[in-house]
Amino acid sequence: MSTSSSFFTVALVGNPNSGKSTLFNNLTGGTQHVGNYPGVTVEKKEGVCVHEGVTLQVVDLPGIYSLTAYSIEELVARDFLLEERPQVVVNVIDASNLERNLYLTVQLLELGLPLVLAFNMSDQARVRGIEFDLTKLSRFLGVPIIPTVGHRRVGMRELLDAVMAVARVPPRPLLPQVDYGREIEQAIAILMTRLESHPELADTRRRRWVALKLLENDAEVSRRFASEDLAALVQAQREHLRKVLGDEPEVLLGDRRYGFISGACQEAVRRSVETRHTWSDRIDEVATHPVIGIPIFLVLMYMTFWLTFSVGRYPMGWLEHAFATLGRWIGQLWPVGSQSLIRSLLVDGILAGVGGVLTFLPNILLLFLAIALLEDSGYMARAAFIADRFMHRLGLHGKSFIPMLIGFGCTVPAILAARVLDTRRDRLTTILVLPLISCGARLPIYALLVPAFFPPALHAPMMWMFYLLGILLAAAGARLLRATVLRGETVPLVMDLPPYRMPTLRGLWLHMWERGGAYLRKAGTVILAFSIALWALNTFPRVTPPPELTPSQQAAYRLEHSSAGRLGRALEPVLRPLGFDWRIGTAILGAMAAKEIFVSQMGILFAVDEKEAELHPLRERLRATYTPLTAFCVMLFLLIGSPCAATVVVAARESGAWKWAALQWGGLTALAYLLTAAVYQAGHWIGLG
Amino acid sequence: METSQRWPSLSELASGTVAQVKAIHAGHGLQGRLTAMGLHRGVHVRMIQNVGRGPLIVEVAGNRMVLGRGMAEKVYVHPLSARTTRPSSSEPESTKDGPGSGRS
Repeated sequence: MSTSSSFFTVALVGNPNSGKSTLFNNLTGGTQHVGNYPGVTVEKKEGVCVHEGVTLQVVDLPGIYSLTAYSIEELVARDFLLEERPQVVVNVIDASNLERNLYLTVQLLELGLPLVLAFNMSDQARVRGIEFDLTKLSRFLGVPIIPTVGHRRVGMRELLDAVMAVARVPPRPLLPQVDYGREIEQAIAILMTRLESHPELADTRRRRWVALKLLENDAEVSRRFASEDLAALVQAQREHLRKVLGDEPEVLLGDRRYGFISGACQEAVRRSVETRHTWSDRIDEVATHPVIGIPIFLVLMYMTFWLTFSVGRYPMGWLEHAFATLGRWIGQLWPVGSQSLIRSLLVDGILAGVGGVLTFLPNILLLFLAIALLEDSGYMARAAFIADRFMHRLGLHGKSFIPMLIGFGCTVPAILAARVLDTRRDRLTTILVLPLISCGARLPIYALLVPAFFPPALHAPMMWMFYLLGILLAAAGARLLRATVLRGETVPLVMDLPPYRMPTLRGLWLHMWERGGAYLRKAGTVILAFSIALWALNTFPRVTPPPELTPSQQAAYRLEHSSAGRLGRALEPVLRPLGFDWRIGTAILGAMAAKEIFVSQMGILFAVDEKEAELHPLRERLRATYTPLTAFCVMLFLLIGSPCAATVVVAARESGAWKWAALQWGGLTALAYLLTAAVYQAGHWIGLG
Repeated sequence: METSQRWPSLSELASGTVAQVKAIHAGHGLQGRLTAMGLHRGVHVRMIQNVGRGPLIVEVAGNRMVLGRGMAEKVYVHPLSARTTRPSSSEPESTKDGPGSGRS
């Protein structure tokens, strides 16, 4: 094993809000890479750190409270520790919140992992009047402890030294372990004897851990290790403990672990001051106040929107201009009136499609910046608390509010954010209704159609109305789902309120790009592919128009006879009740790939003369062709129906089954069709168009 | 386990009251989660905010957490400071009178 001395893996484990990410960023600098764990979609953050000529691969495991199988995050972290066997595990501990953090530590010790404890935020602990005898505690737990202050980069060198020391010297075989008391220890011994023959459990410590997990009724471990007769034995032992000790075994085990922790703390921790109001608690007196908290919440949400849409308008304008210039520049490479396929592909296909998405990136990034600010400062948990009052009535969790908010930016990262929910039912409900939240990609559609058809005084109320309608439909949808396919008791809200913290620029930057990157990748892959496919649909089969037509009539003729035109025409009978013609039908086909493609598709369909490839002339053309009622119906249909391809893919992955994505797509599209048809027919009947 | 029924539930605790957790009757998974988050038998909790409806905020070992009302109803406690009145619409300001929370 000579290689292990120059390269090894270090895993970071810790509670959520323990400052683990800050430590990870400090250690790995700009080298990090965000991926996914195979099979599940929990983020896997990795980075490299070089210390004294040794390369450490640092893996930031998801924030967890324990090593049960309660959430996907816990399962992923546990599997990584068991299967990948990192050479060193750094357990990041919020020192100001010691007992609770040590609960995870005890379980890591039980796994027999080579541990280093990073006592993070030790400065805050001192402020709270907590003093540690780290030497004593370290001896008690049998692992090195390094005090760190993540946001000031204090203790990084010492931490790395300790990591290297543990990696070089294999861990001593016997670390201290929790004594569970005579009855439980007997049960453990009985189970361990039965597990002796298991090939994977030659290691005593590992065998003890499996026995403990079996007693705790851990679903995952039972499935893997418990044969039928062993399962019966486990149940018998659990029943025995229940009878003798009068409580559920998992409660008893938790009691003993906390007993062990309080024993350790009694020796080594001194609280000089009683817990007192910190400035964080003072902020909370206002921020979570049952009355004052609500306007604060609303103002902060409004500011999130203001930042996204008002500030975002400027860079968006620059990008639009840049893409228009680029398009003209590429176009000039060919002679005037050229029918070059390559030019057409570049300008009308790729640039129009991807450019439309990229001009929208500033808004997305600003939204994610605002969300990062809310999250990193600690306010997001308060927002979830305030939101729980009304979210609860929809049968949703206060925490569902977070993906909903992200949904205003982009449905794809919003679906990923639904992971903050602990139960599958909550996660599914949230994921299924998320496309109804008007995502950023629908903004260009409103931005094109609203000014084209409605007087300026109506612009803002119209936009608000679509956003509000989406929210109301999502609420109704959630209620409907909870009453039908996802019936069941709402799992009660349990959530930490971490102390407020000053966000760091670096952290904000990283968080903004983590999510913004997902959007960019979508633009680079799914939307690029669909743009090219759509361009092909628009271009082939190529027909020669009658020569007596003017150039723009010729272009219209070519489009009408392309595959897209034919498909649009074929769909026309179906779309007529909605007031849509074949061109809108064709553009909606595009919107099925990605909502914003509707705009570029309409651009291609109408602005066939490339000099008119800007929004203003397109609006004129649309106004000349359609009525305000039709425009309204288009927006309504695209608000509700046909979630984009990326959403379908991510929803299928996150829900674990294509049937959910299919239900989502079909249900929403059917709803959109019925509602739009009703609105159009009613409008038509009262003479609106 | 019938004995625990004698204890009031956490949701009945007025803001500012300190109590000791006597039993938690949650499902298997949730029980484990609460234990891991520091809410376990024997621990002292202080009610920070309970307005009689909606989720409540409690402090456990210096750490604040939000509990849904339904959840709090399944946590049985032994109140240590006197006030165990039914939840009135007490303002969170009342936490200032809570024991061990001197200002400064």
